Amino acid sequence: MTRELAAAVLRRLGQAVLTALVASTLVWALLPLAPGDPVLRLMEARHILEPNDLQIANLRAELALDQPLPLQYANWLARAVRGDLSISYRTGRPVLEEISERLPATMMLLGTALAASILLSLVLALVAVAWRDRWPDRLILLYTQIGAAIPTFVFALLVLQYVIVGAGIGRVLPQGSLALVLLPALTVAVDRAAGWTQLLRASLIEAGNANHALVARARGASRWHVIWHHALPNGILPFLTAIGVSIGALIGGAPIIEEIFTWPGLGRYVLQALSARDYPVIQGFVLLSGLSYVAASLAVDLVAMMLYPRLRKSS
Amino acid sequence: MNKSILTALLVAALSTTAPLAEDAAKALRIVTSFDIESMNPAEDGFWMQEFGVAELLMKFQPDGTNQPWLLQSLVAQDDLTWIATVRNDVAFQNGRSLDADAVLAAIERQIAHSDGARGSVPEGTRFEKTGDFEITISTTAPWPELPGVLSNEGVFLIYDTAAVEAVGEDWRQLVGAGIYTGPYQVTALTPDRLVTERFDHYWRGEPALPGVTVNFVSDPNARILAVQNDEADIALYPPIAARPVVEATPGLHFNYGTPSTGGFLGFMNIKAAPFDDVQVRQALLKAIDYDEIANVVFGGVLEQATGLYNKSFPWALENYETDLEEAAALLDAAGWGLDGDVRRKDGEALSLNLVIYPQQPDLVPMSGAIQAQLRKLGIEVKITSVDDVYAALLGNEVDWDLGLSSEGTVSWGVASPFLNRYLATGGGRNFAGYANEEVQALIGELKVAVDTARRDAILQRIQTILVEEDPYVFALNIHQGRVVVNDAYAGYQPGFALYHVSYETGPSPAQ
Amino acid sequence: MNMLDRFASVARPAPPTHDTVHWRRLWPRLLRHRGFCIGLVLGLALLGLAAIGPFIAPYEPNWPDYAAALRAPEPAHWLGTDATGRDVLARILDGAHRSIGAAVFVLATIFAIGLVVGAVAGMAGGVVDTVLMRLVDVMMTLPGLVLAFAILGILGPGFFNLLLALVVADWAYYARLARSLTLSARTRPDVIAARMAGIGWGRILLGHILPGVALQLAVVATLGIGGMISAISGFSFLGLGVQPPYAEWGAMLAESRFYFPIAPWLLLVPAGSIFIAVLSANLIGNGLRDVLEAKGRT
Repeated sequence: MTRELAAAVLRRLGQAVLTALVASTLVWALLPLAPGDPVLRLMEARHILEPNDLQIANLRAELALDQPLPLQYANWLARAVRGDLSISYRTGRPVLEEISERLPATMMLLGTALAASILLSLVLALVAVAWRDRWPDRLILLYTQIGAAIPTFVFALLVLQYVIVGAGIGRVLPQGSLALVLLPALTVAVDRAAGWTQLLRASLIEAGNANHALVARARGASRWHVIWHHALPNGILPFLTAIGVSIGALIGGAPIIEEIFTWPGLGRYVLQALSARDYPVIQGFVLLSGLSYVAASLAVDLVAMMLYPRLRKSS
Repeated sequence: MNKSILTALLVAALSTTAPLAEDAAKALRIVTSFDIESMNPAEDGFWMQEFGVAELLMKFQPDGTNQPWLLQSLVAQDDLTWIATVRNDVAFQNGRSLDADAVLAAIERQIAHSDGARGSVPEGTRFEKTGDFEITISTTAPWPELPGVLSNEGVFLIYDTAAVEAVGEDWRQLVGAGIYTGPYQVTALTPDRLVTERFDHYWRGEPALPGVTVNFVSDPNARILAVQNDEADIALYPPIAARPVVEATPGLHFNYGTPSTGGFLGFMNIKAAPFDDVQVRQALLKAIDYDEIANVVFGGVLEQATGLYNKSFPWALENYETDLEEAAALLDAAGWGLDGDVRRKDGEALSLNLVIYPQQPDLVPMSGAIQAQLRKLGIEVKITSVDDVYAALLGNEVDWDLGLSSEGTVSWGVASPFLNRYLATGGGRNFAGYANEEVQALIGELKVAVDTARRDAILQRIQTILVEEDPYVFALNIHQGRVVVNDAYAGYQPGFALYHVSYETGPSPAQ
Repeated sequence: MNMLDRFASVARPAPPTHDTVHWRRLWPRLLRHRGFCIGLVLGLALLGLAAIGPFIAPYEPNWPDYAAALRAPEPAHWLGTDATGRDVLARILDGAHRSIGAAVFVLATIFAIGLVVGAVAGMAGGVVDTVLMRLVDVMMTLPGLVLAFAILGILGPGFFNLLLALVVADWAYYARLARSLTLSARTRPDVIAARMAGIGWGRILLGHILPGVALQLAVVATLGIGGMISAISGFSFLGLGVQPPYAEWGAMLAESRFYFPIAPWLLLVPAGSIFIAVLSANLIGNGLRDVLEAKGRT
């Protein structure tokens, strides 16, 4: 057990290193294609309305933007391996500090959303399978079709308009607290669970049609017994894989959700960085998202290995 | 989802913050778009000026002049010498009194630590103490812009340098240190907000409020909703687009007014057809309906442009005039005859590529209006949105005819920085290489002309050239301040030149 | 599973693996699939409207009419007008080109790149395969959306840049899929038989392997259209895609955000259009998959 575990961890660690390299090279490799002068954009972002030439020249020098790109990259890399992600062009503060201030809010939002999606899709899929082809199943199928066809951001706009503003529930300036995370997180979860429910329902049905399940049913086992002891243990693996992959989408979807709900997290910060041409922050975001994605995939791997001892050998 | 549980949780979350809100019930709560990053006076001090914490030696006025503020007077003794007399009734919030030494120390520290200050002071300028409250400023060339420079929030903020030097680089220690002279002093600065309280011994009188809290919320929608939800009293920088909803919402008011120092400007690409022809440029100025843009498209939230400058400034000419017939005649004379709905010359249709940029969403309705107005004359307009408007107008990648951009034309009463950058030969933003010899000479003269009447005459001549003889840049509107306020502050008018809070600012029901 | 899961939660099941298929035999089955038919009708109606809409619409999509601003739906403006008096119906129809057309274009591009890279890697093997697949691995280490954000953050917003970012973010998944489909096709009895009959790899590739691989990849691409529509409108909503004044459904939502409380049609109409478009793409994709899977089993 431990050896297989170690192998899985090692493999993901290798992936993490690769991810970090790709993420860091990517932004720098694209920079020569970037149009415009970030310094002027930054002056605007810092609300310096009419900068004089000295201010512009000194900011350029301060950010080392007057150096050749390969040198900038080398300096960045040298700092990055020591855990220093440089400073934000826009705010002049260390990127790592800026990111870690906003990360908890994003983690809270995404974590709650993930937990709620898993719970929701598990419950709905089990109900659908238990009452297969009866009205609960049809209702749930309708929900999955509709949910899959509404992009999360559109659903979020509807929730904002008709629940938060319309019914006056919630707060406009959320401070990232646990109680206030519920609405945005549930919004994401209700939308995301649609696809997962569909998937889990299908694989539960398939697993329920396997021979041992049919035998159990023929021996008079109850509907729930078959679902619980035969369908669920065998049908949950594709669901786990789907969750692992969707975590990347969850991270990538954070900016738009945080923007709509004005959630004080990393996603909105990245959008601000995007419009201010704050390359070190974009760099940091890509790096961090890549690493979180790897970490989440590792977590899913480990859960899958615990549930399915046979997987330990094949990997 | 169970709505009642959710509501209960939210109520619980809100109630824990309620006592705090009650304590500060009377303090003014502002939401703004920009973060104040630090207490470092040389880098971020200008914010303190906008929110009633810091002050300057002079103050820029809505009529375009600069009046003494922390100074008693500023007098030009001759072309090369100014005498600045410091008020003798001012004290820093920490109790230290303001005198010539304190002002000189602040000026020197700013020159040493602030690029904004260093870049604004001509070489060879000397600031010397000539009395306990008197400073003599001597220069090697005439420096007529000095009053404006002393009003500029990015240059000489006046603060207690001894208190600043004492904290080294740990700017956080300046919270509560009372280094400024304004009506409110900082009691907290977090990544989310600035909190200030009343400075009881403020020199102009007792501040009207117990304190001011400034929340940093970059999302414009959230700022307005914060006022609606009674989490703020005043929201700064609301989008014009928000006005109909704000006005339809009980308890919310969209206040605007106080014409400012700039506007959306149009730049014509004089290097290429059709604007290489002066008559076409003259025709464009007459084809734009400035009244419709300001008063119909933007419902009066933008001030109508009557010339390049805010008309309340003494040197402003009101020389813009919409006249479609004359515009058509000019186009005819230039060879662009009407062929059905379209004007053509040598078979080619008269078509303009209009460039806008997404950071200014108001340019979308603006460009739509221009498109509709010019079509009446048979001019087709294509709209291109570029991410970096300066790069697009300066470079060769975008084939532009008319570029729109939001610009200040007057920096705290000083007109020449704009003219130097946008109109002078070699100016960093002379997008189309405008080179009018007379304008060039006038800009040079303006730099050293001390006499106010002569300065006004120079600026008026430039405005005439830009309309009648060699048009290039023109104003589509004059910007005005705008805010969203609640009932308690329904009478609050947007501050001129970003002075959002004065000692008199207080609750003011609708007038 | 798809890398670029996008803003919509479109579940992407494993592709069917089976022999070559013939459209002539598939059509009757497809037409008996209720979801597919609903999706097809919806999709065709939408495409038809988008195609003829600009010719029949009584208004220009970008034309302001300040006297008719913020009109609720009425006979003169069936879907109302926006804040500058532009006709919402005209803008929805005009935006359909960008919202749906771009999604189809991006997926067609990805499909072509994926098919070529995957087939080449699968057929060539050896060093070529290793190099191509390492490249695919590298591309897949980052979540697709994050990759797209990075590209847009540096190249700047814009419709072309958005399409480029989406292609870059998603092609690797299709290439990997095409490779594994190619590899499994190589061991199919008919391919082995053809090989033993002395037919060259080139003809086998074109005649036996590619049609099946392409069809299965096309089904997966169809399943991706809904998500791609969501992605394009999502990025445009954030101001990173289609630029004003041009109409796109997500951009329409963004430009009217402030008016939702007093003009709900500005929220509901673009949102409904996105919903119908994604729904019909999903129904068509799921129908195709169901029918092909059922055939694969028999």
